[in-house]
Parts: sequence; structure tokens; C-alpha cells
Amino acid sequence: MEKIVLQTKQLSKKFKKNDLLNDIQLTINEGQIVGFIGRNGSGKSMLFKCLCGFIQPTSGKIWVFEEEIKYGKFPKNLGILFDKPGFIPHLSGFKNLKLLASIQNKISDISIKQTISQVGLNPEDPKPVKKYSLGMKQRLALAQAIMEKPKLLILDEPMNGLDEEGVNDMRQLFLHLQQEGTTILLSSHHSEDIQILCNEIYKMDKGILTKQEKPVI
Amino acid sequence: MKLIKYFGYYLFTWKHLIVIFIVFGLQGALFISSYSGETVFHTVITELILKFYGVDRPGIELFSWLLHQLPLYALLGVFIYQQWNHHFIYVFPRVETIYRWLHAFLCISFIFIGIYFFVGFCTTGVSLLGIKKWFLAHDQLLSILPLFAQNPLHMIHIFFLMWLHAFLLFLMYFMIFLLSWNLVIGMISVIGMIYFSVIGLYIDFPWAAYFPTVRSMIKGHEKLHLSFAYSYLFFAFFIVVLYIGIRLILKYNKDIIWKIKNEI
Repeated sequence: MEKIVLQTKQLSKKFKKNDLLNDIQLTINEGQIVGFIGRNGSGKSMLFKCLCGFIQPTSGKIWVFEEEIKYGKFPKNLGILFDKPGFIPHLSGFKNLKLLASIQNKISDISIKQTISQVGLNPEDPKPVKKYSLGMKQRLALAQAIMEKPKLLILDEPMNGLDEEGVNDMRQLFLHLQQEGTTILLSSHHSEDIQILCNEIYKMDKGILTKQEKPVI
Repeated sequence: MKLIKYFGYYLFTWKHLIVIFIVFGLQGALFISSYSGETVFHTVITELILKFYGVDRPGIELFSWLLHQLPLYALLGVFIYQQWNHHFIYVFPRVETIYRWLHAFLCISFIFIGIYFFVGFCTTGVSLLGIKKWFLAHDQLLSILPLFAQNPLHMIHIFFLMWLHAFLLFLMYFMIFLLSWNLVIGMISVIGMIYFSVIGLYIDFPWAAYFPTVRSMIKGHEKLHLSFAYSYLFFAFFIVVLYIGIRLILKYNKDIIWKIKNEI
């Protein structure tokens, strides 16, 4: 029997008169890559923020690794990537990741450097993050998400800012992580990413989530 | 402890240190420029006590008083904004609960404020010493000094009272930010608090003793005959009250971590 990594029941979020999420029922099994598509403002990012514990749902429940997620209590064993600058600008990429990793103290410097190389950056690069290009920042953000080898990854538009080569690298990386047993939830505007990578696809429209048939390529 | 170190890398930078040097160096230079031929004092400590003695009237004195305080709140304001708007996203999943983040955030802010004033007072002292060499070293007139300024122990009281006062106003600033999501409102509230405290002292407002800025100044203690011990208790009490307030905001304001209204 497949292990359930993430589950939601009747998850809804209302803000003023808007239904941002409407009765979301989701069950994600271990080792899957699950894609979320939908227009801007359809509720994909809102759902991801609820799953991370950043936003309290109006009603419904979320379980991550069988532990109920409540507001202000963040899931363990989770790597995330959102489109927000979260690094200390005057420090190098390696130094930023080292500081973040030191909070949990789970991995060594060598492991951090390996992860930075894995996303196609030079771990010895002394350049401060404020001088990084958008694509480099995105790669670094991805490195921070995966460096502690979390069992679940929530990636909101991970291909943003990447060139064609970068997108191909990331696709290979996600497939490699999947083979290692990592479960990945990702949203993307590029339907090609979703179709190539994902085992399951969900479409979000005005806060309503529906499962899509995966087209045969 | 690791989280405090993480915040420390953001706050303790050369850029921030240079701001402190400039602000407090300027304070020393401004103070010396107000020297008349009769008022060259004996020791740097005496001069520091007089410099940070406090103000009880609006005008240039109040402006000078704000000059060394406002950069601190500006630096802390940017710190609040950066951490709460950007950096939290990669930090929160690693700390498990928001309260662990809050405690580290408040600890590093407290340490930074202490270091701000320590480095600041040293800078003012050095600038006073350096610039004074250009002046005549004739005998000072101790008799014209207020009695308070003759006791070097008061330098220690000034330091700790200003530290606690700044931390109290920082908590107020952070609390207002959490309620309004607006740094400018927080900053105006801090300036307003300092301004009305000084005005309260100036017009002999009956409740002036309950204004935190009055409690942070030797001049306030002298004028209203306040005890230092009571002032430390005053700050401790209101720091605890504001801390509880911040915790309650985090507990009951469910949309506080990620501001939804900005996205709709």
C-alpha cells in the first residue's frame, strides 16, 4: 500500500467575499510528482501557502506526514520554493545556505556544496547574492529547498527565470529526486514541464481543484 | 542560538557599524561646537553624561536627541520588514513554530540595541576627546555642572535606561507593524512617543512620569524626582506587557504571516 504524504479534507479559504480555495480534497502518495496548473490568481499559490502553514484555512484540515498542520506550526521534512527573495543580499550563495542549514544543523558544508553544484552553481563563487541574476537566484532558492533532503517539496513556479538549459537541468533534477523517493508538488505556467514531469495533474480554477487526465505525449 | 546567529549576519554588518560611527561622531562634534570658552569639562565621562543627559523642551535640543535615536529605529525597521516580508519564507519551515522565530528575533534585536548604544557612546567619547585637543585645555568649571553630571555612575544608568527604552519602543514599533503592515506608521508612533514625552516634561504634564522616554533620561529623573530602580521596573513591566501583546497578535491574527490582501 502506498504511503500518504499529504492529505487535505474540505480545505477552504475565504477572504472578505472571495472564495480563494473551495472545498479542496487532495491525497498525495509518496514518490509522486504532482503538477498544479491554472491561471494567475486561480489559487495555486494560496493552496501551497496553506500546505506550508503560512496561511490559516477558513475551514478544513491538512495533514503532512500524518501530522495535522496548524497555523504557526510548520511541517517537518518539507522543502519549499516561492517567488520571494529570501536571502541575505551581502553574503555569498554558499554562506546563505550554510546559515539556513545551521538552523537545523542536519547537513555538512560538503553536502551544501554538493547541492549547490547539483543546481548548476559554483559553490566557491564569492559573489554576493545581490549580484546574482534572476536565474541564479532561482537555482539557489531551489538548492535551499532540496539541500536537507526533505521528503516533500513544494515548488511554486520553480522554472521562473531559468533559460532553456536551466529548465532541462531542473527537470532532470526533479526526476532524480523522485527516484530517491521525494514527493514533489509543483506549479508551472509551462504545460510542457507539467506533462513531462508529473504523474498526476490538477487544475485550479477560481479556488476549485479538479484532477486532469494526463495526456499521452 | 543558531537562529540568533542567522539574524546576526543580517544586522551586524560594516554598513550598520558605519551608520553608528557617523551618527554618534556627529553627536560629539555638535556637542563640542556648543562649547563656550567657560565650559570645557574635566573628563569624557562627565561630557558624555551631559551629552546624553536628556531634554525637556522642544526645539534644537529635541532634534539633537532624536538624531541619535532615529537611525536605530530606521535600521530596526528595515530589519523587521526584510525578515517579515522576505526572509521568513526559508526560515519558518526550519524552525517549526513561529514562537521560536519570535524569541530569536527579539533576542537579536535586544543585543543589537545594546551594541548600538555601546558603540555609539564609545564613538561619541572618542570624538569628544579627539576634537577637544583643538580646544584650550584650561580649567573646567565644575561648579556650573548639574549635580547629576558629577556622578560617573550615572553613565551606567544612562546606558541601561536608553537600552531598555529603545527595546520597549522597538517592541511597540514591531507590534504596530504587525497590526498595520506599515513601517511608516510604526516610525511615526515612535517619534510621537518621544516627542510627546519631552513635551509632557516641558509643560509639567501630571502623568509625564509614565512616559517611557521621560524614564530613559537623567533629566526626567532629576526634574520629577524619580528613582532609577522604579524606572528599571517600569521598563521590565511594559516590555513583558508588549511581548504578551505581540504573542496574542500572532496567535489570533490568522492571516498575519502572509498578507493575503496584497495578493487579491
